[in-house]
Formats: sequence, C-alpha cells, structure tokens
Amino acid sequence: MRITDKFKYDLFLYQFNTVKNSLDRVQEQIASQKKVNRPSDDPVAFSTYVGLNAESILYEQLDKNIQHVTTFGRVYETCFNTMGDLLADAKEVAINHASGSMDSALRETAVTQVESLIEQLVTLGNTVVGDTYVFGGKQSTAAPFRLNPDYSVDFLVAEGSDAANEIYVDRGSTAQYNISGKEAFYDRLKTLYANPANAYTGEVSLNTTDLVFVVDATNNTISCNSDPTAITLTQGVYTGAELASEIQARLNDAVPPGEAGYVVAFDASTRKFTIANNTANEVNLDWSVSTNAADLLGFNLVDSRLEENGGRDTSDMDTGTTSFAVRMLDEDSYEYSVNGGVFSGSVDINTGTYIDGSLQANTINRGIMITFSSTDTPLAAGDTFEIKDYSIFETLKNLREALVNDNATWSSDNISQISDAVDIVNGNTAKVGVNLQTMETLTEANNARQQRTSEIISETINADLAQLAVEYNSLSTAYQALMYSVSKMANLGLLNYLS
Amino acid sequence: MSIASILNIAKSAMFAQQTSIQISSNNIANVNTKGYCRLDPDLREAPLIPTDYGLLGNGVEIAGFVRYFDRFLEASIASRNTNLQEQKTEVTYFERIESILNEDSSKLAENVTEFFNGWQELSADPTNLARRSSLAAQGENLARTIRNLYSELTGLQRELDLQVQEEVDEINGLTASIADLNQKIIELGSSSTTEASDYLNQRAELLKELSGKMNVVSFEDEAGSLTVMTASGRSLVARNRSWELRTQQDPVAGFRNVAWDDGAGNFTDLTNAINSGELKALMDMRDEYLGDGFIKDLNNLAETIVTEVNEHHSVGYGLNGFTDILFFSEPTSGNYASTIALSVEVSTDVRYIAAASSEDDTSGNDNALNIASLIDEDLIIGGESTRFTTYISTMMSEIGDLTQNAQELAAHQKSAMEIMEQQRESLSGVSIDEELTKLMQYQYAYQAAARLITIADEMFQNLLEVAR
Repeated sequence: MRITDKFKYDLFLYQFNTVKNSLDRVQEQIASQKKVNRPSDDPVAFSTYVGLNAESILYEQLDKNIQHVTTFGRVYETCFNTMGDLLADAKEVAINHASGSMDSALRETAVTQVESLIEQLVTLGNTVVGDTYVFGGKQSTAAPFRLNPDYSVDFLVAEGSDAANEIYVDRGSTAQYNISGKEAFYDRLKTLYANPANAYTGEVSLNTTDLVFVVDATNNTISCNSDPTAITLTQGVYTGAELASEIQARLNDAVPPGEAGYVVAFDASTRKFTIANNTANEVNLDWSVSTNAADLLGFNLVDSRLEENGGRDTSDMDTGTTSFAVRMLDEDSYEYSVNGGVFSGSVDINTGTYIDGSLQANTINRGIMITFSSTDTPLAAGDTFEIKDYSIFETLKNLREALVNDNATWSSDNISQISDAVDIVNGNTAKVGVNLQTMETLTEANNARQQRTSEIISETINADLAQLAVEYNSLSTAYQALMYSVSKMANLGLLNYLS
Repeated sequence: MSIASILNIAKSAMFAQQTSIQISSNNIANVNTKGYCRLDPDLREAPLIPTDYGLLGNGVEIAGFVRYFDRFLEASIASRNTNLQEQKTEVTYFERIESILNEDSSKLAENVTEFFNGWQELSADPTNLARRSSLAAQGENLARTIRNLYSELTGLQRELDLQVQEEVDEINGLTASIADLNQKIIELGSSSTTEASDYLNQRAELLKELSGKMNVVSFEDEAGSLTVMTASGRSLVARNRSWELRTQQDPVAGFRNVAWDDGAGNFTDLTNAINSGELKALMDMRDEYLGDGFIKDLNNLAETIVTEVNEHHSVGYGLNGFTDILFFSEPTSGNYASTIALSVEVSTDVRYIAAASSEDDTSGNDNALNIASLIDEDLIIGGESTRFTTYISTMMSEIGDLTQNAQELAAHQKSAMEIMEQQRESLSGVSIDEELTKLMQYQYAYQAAARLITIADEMFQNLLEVAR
C-alpha cells in the first residue's frame, strides 16, 4: 500500500483526536466525579439514576413527614403524662370527698384545686406547636377548647373537623400525626351525667353505652346507579356491626355467586360506616336521592362513586352523636329533649320503657333506657340528667359541682368516671407510644432505604477516581508518545537527507 | 543520422524531463489539496526515423498525463458520505436534545417529585399559608420547567426547519456547479489535460458533498459529462443543465417539505423520497424525533399532570370554602406543555388550594393526600400506564439510546470512510518522498540530456577543427 504524506498526517490526526477525546472524557469524569454525565454515556444507568434520584427526594420528604409525626408524638406524650398527673390529683380529691373526710374548708380548697385542674386541662387542650393547635384535629389554626365561667368547657371544633389528620410516612401508607381533642378528652361511650345539685341521690343508670340503628320503612332504601330501590334493608334494630353486615348482604344480593362483592364495616371508634366495592363494576350510591338512609349511615347528601376493584367511601359524619337531656317534672315523670331541642311532653317513669316512653327502640330513643333505683331521697321536680358522649371536662365539672354541693354520692360516682378518663389518657398514651415506635422503625427503614438508594446511585453514576487517575496517566502517556512519534516521523522524510 | 539529430534528441529529453519535473512540482504543491488526484507524465518514445541502418530512436515525447483516479472507489466514497453525513447530523442534534433534556440541567423529574412532595408538606399542616405558598411556588417552578423545555425543543425544531431551507439552497448551488463543470469538461474534450484533471477533481468533490446532503444516483457518459439524479429518478444534473429543489410549507405541520422543480413551474414532492443524507436527518429530527417524539412526550407528561391534578383539585375544597377550582389553568389550544401555568385563582390566593375533600372541613388534608399520592400511581401518560418519574426516566433513556446509537453509527461510518479515504489516498494521494525520488530521477535525466548537448557541441567543434 502506498503511504502518502496526507495519509500519514490524517492518521496522526485521527489518533490524536481519539486520544484527546478520551482524555477530555476522563477529565470531565474527574471534574464531575461522575462516570455518567449525560444519558448517552450509559442510557440504562442514567435512566436508573433519574428514577432513583426522584425516589431519594421522595424518601427525604417521607423522612420529614416521619419527623413531623415524631415531633407531634413527643408533644402528645408530654401532654398525656401531664393529663395523667392532673387526673390522678382529681381522683384523689374525689376519693377524699366520697369518704366524707372533708370539712367545708377542705372542700373549698378542693373546689379551687379542681377548678385549677380544669383550667390546666383546657390549657393542655389548647397546646400550640409552631402555629398549630395540636388537639385541633383538622382545624388546627384556632383554639379547640373554651373554658366558660361555670367551668364547663366547649369543644369548638365542628363535626367533621374533629377527626385526626394523616400524612404519608411510607409509599402508599399513611399515619395519623395528630390526635384530635375529641379523641384526647372525650369518648364515644354514652354516659349519664346527673346534676350534683339534684335532690335525688340514688342510683341512676343507662341500659347501654351505644346507640342502636333503627331501620324502618322511611330509611331502608338506598338508591344505587339511579335505581331508587336498588337496595332494600330489612327493617329492624341493629348495632353498628349488625347494620354493616345487613348492608353488605343486601349489596351482595345482586352479585353473582363466586364473584368478589362488597364489604361493609362499622368502626365503633368513629361510629362511621365504610363501604368497599370489590366488584368489577363501578357503582354510584345516590345519597342525594336516599336522604334518610344517608342520614342513618352518616353520609352527606353527595353521591358516592365507588370505583371497581376496591373503590370505597366512608361516612362523612359520626352516626352516634345524639344526646339527651332529662328534666324531672315530679317524682314519677319527666320530660326529655334530643340534641338540645325542645322538651317533650310528660313521660311516666316505667321500668322497661325507652327514654321516650316507647316499648320499642325507634329512631328517636335510639335504644336508650334510663333507670332510677329507689332510695331514701326521691326524684324531685327540677332534677336534671344528661346522656351524652363521655367527656373528661364534664366529669371534672361534675366533680367540682359535687364538691360545691357537698354531694359525696356523686363524688363517689366520679371516681369511676375519672378512672374512665385515666383509661382514655392511658389508651392515648399507648397509642402515641406505639406510633412513636412505628416512626422509629420507619425512620430506620427509611434511612436504610436512602442509604441503599445512595449506594446504588453511587455505583451507577459516580466515578472511581483512583481508576480514572490511572486511566488519565495512561492516556497522557499515550498522548505524549503520539506527539513524540509525530515529531520523529516528520524527520523521516527523504527531504531531510537531500542537501 | 546527423549530430543535429543528437541535439534534437537531447532537446526532446530535456523538454520531457522538465515537464515531468513540473508535474512533480504540481503534485508536491497539491500534497494537501482535498480531492486532488496525483498526475504522472505519460512518457513515450518519439516516432522512429528511418536511417541507412534501419529505424532509429528519435528521443522522447509526452503523450499525456496519467491521472490516478478510481471512479468506482470515488462513487463508493460519495455513497458512504451520504450515510456519514446523515449520522453526523443526527449526532449533532441528538446531543443538543440530550443537553436540553438532561436531568442534571433540566431537573424535570426532580421538580415533578418536589411538586408532589409539596402536597405532602401541605398535608402535614393544611391551613398553613406558608406551606400553601410554597406549594404554589413549586407548582409554578414545575410549570416553568416544562414550558422552558418545550420552548427549547420547539426552538430547535424551528432551527432544523430553517436548516432544511439552507440545505436545499446548498444542494441547488452544488448541482449548478456540477453542471458548469460538466460544460467545461465537455468543451475541453479530453480528460488527459491538467486543466481537465482539475475540473474532474473539483466535480468529484462536489459530488461527494452533494451525496452527503441527500442520496443521489450518478453516472458519467462517454463525453465525460456527469449525470446526477435523485434516488427516485428525478434529474438534478444532465450535461450542462441543472434542476432545482424547492421548499414548500406543509399546510398541517407548518414546516418545510422538499419538492423537485421541473423547470416549468411544476413541483413534485420529494420529502418521502429522500431516504438518507443530511437533509433526511434534518427532517427526521424535526418531524419524527422532536415533533412526534420528545415534544409530544413532554406534552403528554404536561397533559397528565394538569388533568390529574386538576381532576382531584376541582372536587376538593379550598381554605376559603371554594370548590371546583383548577390548580393548573386549562390550555385553550390543547397544547399543555407550552401553556402550563397555575390557575388564576391559585396564583392569586393560595387559600384556593383545595387540600380538603369536604366542605364541612375545609381545613382537612384528604385531598392533598390524594394529589400527593399521584406520584406513586400508575397513570395513563401518552396512552401508556406508567408513573411520572418512570415516564421521565424512560424519556432520558430514550434520548440516551438514540444519541449513543447515532454516535456509534457515526463512528462506524467515519471509520469505514477513513478506510475508503485511505484507499483513495493510497491510489490518488501525493507522497513527498516519492515525488522527491522522481524529481531526482527527472533531474538526472535532464542533466544527462544536457550532457548530450555538450557532447554534440564538442563533436561539432571537433568537426569544425578538422575542416579548418
């Protein structure tokens, strides 16, 4: 093959370019400390890096969320410890008073002490972290509790906003980060509060702590996919769990055997129903049409669209907030009101009748019966009783009034009610503890995941500087050798030998 | 046979060697000239003359020049140049698209993730106005990122369209030049002159350049004229005539198509007939890889972000109790990537951000959680069920693959071209050493011929001495 001069120089140029390109590449990798700087360097590695980097950012956010839950958890832990101490003090006062060991001076001191306990609990209830009221539930910008001059306490968070918020603590998994005032200071058990100023000092009790659901001809149809009578519930009296089971059965009537159907559950802690659609078809529950059924089950009058294969919806409202007030008219009769409404006509006290005097549970009495035991002090006109969800504040207010009225019987009753309060606090403390433990585990898992992601990113993208240094040296040597050979080659022409 | 004939022989020899030295000089002068084909003198013995002793040599003459040229090799180089230029153009533009989309600079996946993280941040404190403002800023940042990417990609697309026009203009210039050279070669009538050789070299270079721009078919007729046609058989050059290509705006896409002008004002669309070369690469990059490729991908991504976020946002409730509010404004043209922006309500007052799912509880965070979860959901993006970050990393992988593939193909084509160029250089290139050797050869021959004159002169002197 003829080797021409242009051939020689072109070849050198080509080789120079090749080595120079390699040198530039290595220099860039050393400067950026990455072996993959652009997608074309290694498309698969770069794509993996983009995905992992996004994941890493997501994990950082999850880490922040976990820290948020942990911070709130620590605050709740402190609050519940303090609450426990305050309730222990209250219990001691109730025990002392119930034992009859208090003279009037001691009672006055005790009243002041209980008032102080209520104030401290309200202060705890209005604890602020940053600009968030930690017991405000979803309404975290305003104080959730208000102390009234009579030492009653109002819970100012509206129904619907009194639930806790959740945030993501893992991919696709949420955790409750706050505890609403409703959870911390109240319970969903129906409790009977007697006015300590009552003349009556005998036993009074309720037949149940839970309301029943009464399905009748007015509320037993649920419109579904625009069919107004698609679901007809069997009329009767149900507990929450029983009603959930009945709804599930009726919904599944239309589902062919062997196929996935509907699942309906009742959560006693929130008194809400959840309807899950596991069928292969989307379904619309027309609450805007079935208004009475919606009211029964706690749904707003907005239709629920349940997507196929797992779509679900949960009651918007607590179904068990009904409260009753009873006011004695005389020794043998009383009047009552529902949810603070107008009082009814006279109802005779008869054993075995519901609060409205009916012999059967209905949508008014919700299965509540009140029973008075005969004592030496008979019921008197003006004596009042309230049946509502358990409240720590109400219990302490009751204790205060028992002290003011020197009603040792009620103080005695209060001991068990304060124990219930301690149970609530203990329950919440345990819940917070478990939550904190979970967060600790999640933090470790998240850190491990972040670490692993960083390692994979590092292995995928980052450069091995030692290897690059060796490569750079090798290329530099090659480059110098090339330059040397060019200079030598230039001297190897015939021209240099001709004078 | 006379002494004068010796002088004639010496004269012809000196002339021939001097001309040979001139050819070598020209070869040396053009050692670095692109497309130059070395020449050698075609020395032949001068016609014999009859003497009393029979036919006797009468010196040397130059019959012409030998041009070291392999037409088949040149045709192969021109053909190879079509693929090489196509790949080089693709590499250039793929690298530019890659630099635009590169996650390290665009931060597209990062901003998408940060945006949905913003919803998570808000869910931790839904009534916090600072967090709402931060989310709005993240939304605007994401929108700006997408708009900027779209703007850069469409800018590149417009640049490519202008480049198509420039290529067509250059092709027309090249075909006109080839026709002009055809005319000159025909006029000279012979390719064995240095002048004709120069024209042939120039024409071969122009053909190579033309082949780089689009695939053409060419052949030479007996008169030395080169005929050039498009791959679909449309004439570009025939003897001294050339036909022009024109660009026509596509009424739908709005970009330039390429058409062949028959010279009588009739145009035939050639866009789909151009199946290789730089022009093909430019149109492919413009239409296939940008228009129907990355620009469309980006638009699909923007569309899914806007529609999915808006779908959830519009059923939620803002802190001010408003519902049916969009988070991102809906585009009027169907082009999401160019217009993506926060809705007027959200950009005006962050209380419109619908973190809650119930009107009874506008301080709730359920809707924020629903929107935050979109980052981990399989959604329909461009007809495929995928996640946002997976879709973006697929885009990265795709541009990486295309660029890498084009780089490798270009390197392969370049390497193949190098080999062919080496073969061409081996045949047609100039070697200084070789030329110096020849120079010495011609110089010695010249000196010897000069010596002949001296001898003839001495012979004349001797003869004159005898006569005296």
